[in-house]
Amino acid sequence: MGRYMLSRSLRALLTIFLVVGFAFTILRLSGDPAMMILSADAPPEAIAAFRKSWGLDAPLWQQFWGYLLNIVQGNFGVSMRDASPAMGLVLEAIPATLALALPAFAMNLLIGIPAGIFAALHRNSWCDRLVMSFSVAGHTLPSFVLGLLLVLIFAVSLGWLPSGGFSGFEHSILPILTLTVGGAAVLARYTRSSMLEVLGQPYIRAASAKGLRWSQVVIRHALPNAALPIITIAGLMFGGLIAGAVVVESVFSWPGVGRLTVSAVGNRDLAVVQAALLLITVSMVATNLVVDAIYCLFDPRLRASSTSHH
Amino acid sequence: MTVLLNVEDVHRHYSVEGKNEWLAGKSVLRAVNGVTLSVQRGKTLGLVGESGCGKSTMAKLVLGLIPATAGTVEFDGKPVTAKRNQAWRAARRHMQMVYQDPLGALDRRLTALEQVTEPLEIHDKQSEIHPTLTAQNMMRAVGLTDNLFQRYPHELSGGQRQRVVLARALVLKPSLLVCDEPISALDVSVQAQVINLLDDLRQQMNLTMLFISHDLRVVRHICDEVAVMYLGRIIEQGSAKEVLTHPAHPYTQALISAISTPGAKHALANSGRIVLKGEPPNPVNIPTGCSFHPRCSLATAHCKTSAPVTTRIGESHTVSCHLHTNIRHGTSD
Amino acid sequence: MTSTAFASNPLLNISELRIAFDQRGHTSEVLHGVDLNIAAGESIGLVGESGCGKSITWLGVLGLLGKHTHVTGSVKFQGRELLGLSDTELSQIRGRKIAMIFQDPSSSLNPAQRIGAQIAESLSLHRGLRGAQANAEVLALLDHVEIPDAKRRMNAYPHELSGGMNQRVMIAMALAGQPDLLIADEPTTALDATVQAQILLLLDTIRRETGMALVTISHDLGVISEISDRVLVMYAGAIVESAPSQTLFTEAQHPYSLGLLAAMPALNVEVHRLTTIRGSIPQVGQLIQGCSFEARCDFAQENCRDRSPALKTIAVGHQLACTRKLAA
Repeated sequence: MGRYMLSRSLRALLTIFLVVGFAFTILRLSGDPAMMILSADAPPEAIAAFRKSWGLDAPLWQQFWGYLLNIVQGNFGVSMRDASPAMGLVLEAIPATLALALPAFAMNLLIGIPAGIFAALHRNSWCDRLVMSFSVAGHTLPSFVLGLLLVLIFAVSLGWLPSGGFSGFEHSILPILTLTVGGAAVLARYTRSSMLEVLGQPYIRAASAKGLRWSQVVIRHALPNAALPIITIAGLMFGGLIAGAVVVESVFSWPGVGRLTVSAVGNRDLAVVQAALLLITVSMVATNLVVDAIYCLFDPRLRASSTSHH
Repeated sequence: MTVLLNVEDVHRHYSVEGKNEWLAGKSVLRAVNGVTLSVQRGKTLGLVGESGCGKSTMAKLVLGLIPATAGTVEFDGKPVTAKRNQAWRAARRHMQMVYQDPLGALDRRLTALEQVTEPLEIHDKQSEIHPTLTAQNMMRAVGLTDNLFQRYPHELSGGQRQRVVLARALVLKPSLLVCDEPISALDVSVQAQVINLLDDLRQQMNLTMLFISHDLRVVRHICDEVAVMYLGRIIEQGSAKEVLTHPAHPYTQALISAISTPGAKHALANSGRIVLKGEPPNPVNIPTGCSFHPRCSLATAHCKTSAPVTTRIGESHTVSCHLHTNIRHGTSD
Repeated sequence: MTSTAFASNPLLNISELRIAFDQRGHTSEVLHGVDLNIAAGESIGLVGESGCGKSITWLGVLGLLGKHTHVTGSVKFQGRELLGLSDTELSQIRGRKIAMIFQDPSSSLNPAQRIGAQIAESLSLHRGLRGAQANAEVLALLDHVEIPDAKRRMNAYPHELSGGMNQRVMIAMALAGQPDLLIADEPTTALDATVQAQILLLLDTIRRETGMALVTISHDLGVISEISDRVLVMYAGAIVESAPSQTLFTEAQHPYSLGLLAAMPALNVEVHRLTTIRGSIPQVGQLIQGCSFEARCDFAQENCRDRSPALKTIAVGHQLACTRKLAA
């Protein structure tokens, strides 16, 4: 277990490094921040001065090295727009993102997993097909389309809920709903296939032959074995929600990390983008690590052989 | 009689992570631990043993599918390496394998005919005869009727699938055929058909075979010689008739005794059957001395400390056991 | 129908058992009317190849076949009709009165649960034992099935044990309920030869000690002959011959039985060519007019295709379903 987690942690650090490095490079190669911030018809000397003051005229590797040194000291740079600390801006946006992510995640679990289990237990019946149809619909509908549809129905036509903004509980209902539909659909599908795979195993029939009632077989033998892949998917979904449901936040003008990242990229506000990316990567990677640890703890076969040799 | 396959003191070891994850404990899994054998052209050698004895690893070593950790494998005078280069691929036409699970060995998306034609398209591009014709003839030779040619593997029965695997293996007329438990996944009434077929083809094509099986009766029927493996070593070897009617090693005797014969007149409890203690052990923890001693009812202190040498006890019969002179007797008829 | 020993009070009486599956719109019958009786403490063997119905019969008896199956006929266990019982009622018989062990022991155990806990589950379910009492009984059962170092092994997971060990665990689990009938479905097929010998001996010993009846299912006639007093040969969903063990091997009458016996000669017999049964087993559920074995039979006559032969008694304890042999 220990060695397993150590190797996973090292890989996690490498992932963070690669993501940040990649973003760093792309941002500087894909457009000139100076022109974005100062506007296109600023005089060339002003642009040059801007670039020099932000260190943008130095070679790429030198900029990256400087950036790494700064990070290690806790300095994540400042926004090019208003000189406020980049990481501060990102951290301010986190509560808003969590206000969507946590309820949406809970709903995903509460709706998606039971739906998947139910569908698996009643395989090929009309209930199963109904649940799966909803799942496919929820899965394939792009989140912005769904978001806009919900706005259209509930905000514009019915006027029950506001279409955007951040000033009250009712503002969060539509965005949470949008996030839930997609997430629950995915979770239902994976839960169903994981359950079906387990239900087809010989030990399920053997458990019935022991004299357990079907409900006991499902609860004591099927669910624990089906749980592991579901935990993985759920964990990854959570990481994605934390990363800031970029699209949903944009549609609903929700001031979370996702919307901040999008506008910072548009403005080539390098430090903010990098700070946001760093945070998002760290949270995704951390979630993965936790999922790995859970897997290791709960699957006895993994515990015995911590790393494979072939 | 020339020797087609020659294996000299071959070893195959794997490093395995130890159970204790905190330490760097690595153990060595000795799948094959010093095997020497040779097969003459046109003869069949049977390899028998239980799980963990290394017989499947031997099949892969002989074919060059995995490299040996030590020792040499020679086919037709040339060494067999496991490097997947041009020479290795060219050698495939001379040595082929038949597998235990025929469904798994066939590509689900190709029809039976396509499976058998494929090797010809790879190796025999210059042939004047159209590959499909050659393939069809081979398939008829293994007993497949024309109406089965266009079927997919899942549309064939177990016996039919194994025939397709055989046709595919033999269509290039290899000199060596390695069979790894070719009939154990088949129904009993089909097993006999496939064995007869193998026997016929072997004679017609002058095939040399390495026949791996846990079923001693089949080995007795189809093999000229047999080698009994235990924990990566050959513990007894000789002509099939001699070894299986006059086994000298306690393990061979136990294997023979374990065969359930229909109609044998004995109640289980009083059968005089040799029931070994314990189970086929893990090749990671090979016991000291004679590796069989923990399960042997005749083991002495000497057996625990010193490994037996291979002794010749008959014309072609060799055995590795300290006590072979004391225990050698025929099976009761 | 058979000897008087159990005509009066069989432990299990199966009559005209038919099983059919619903598949894509149509129904195909896979078991075509099976009759058999088992007396208390008796050991019978069912032998046959794939599709003969030897396993399906017992899954049908225990109601383990799932939703899209039709099981008709009569199955009386200790006088009580089992077909038609609800799943809850059947679950009180499974494990407690009739236990079943399966072919691949390692995949028939829950991989995420320690074996001690799995045995304890049976004890709790059938004998109400819990806690320290249950643990003590688990140890006793593990000793009984000859698992060495039971105290430590109790906490092992199935993947940490070998196939032979896992089969012993399954037997222990089956014994936990103290059943009157144990059904062993290919108990040794997935095991090594030397382990096979151990398991057969164990099963036989336990049967004699506990007095429970044993049904052994196998494709291996040798295994059946060692452990069963009476053998039933099945082909394509029906019993074709039934006789005491010794009689079957010396005086088998059905061409299929003879074919199976001749298929693999003993070690000390040298043959040039193995005797084969030509052709192959019919597809499961395929409708066949007349005798299902006729297409592969070397002795088939004209009238073999007329109707499917019924199982008739030809000698004491010996039954046969063959048009040709019974015509005389």
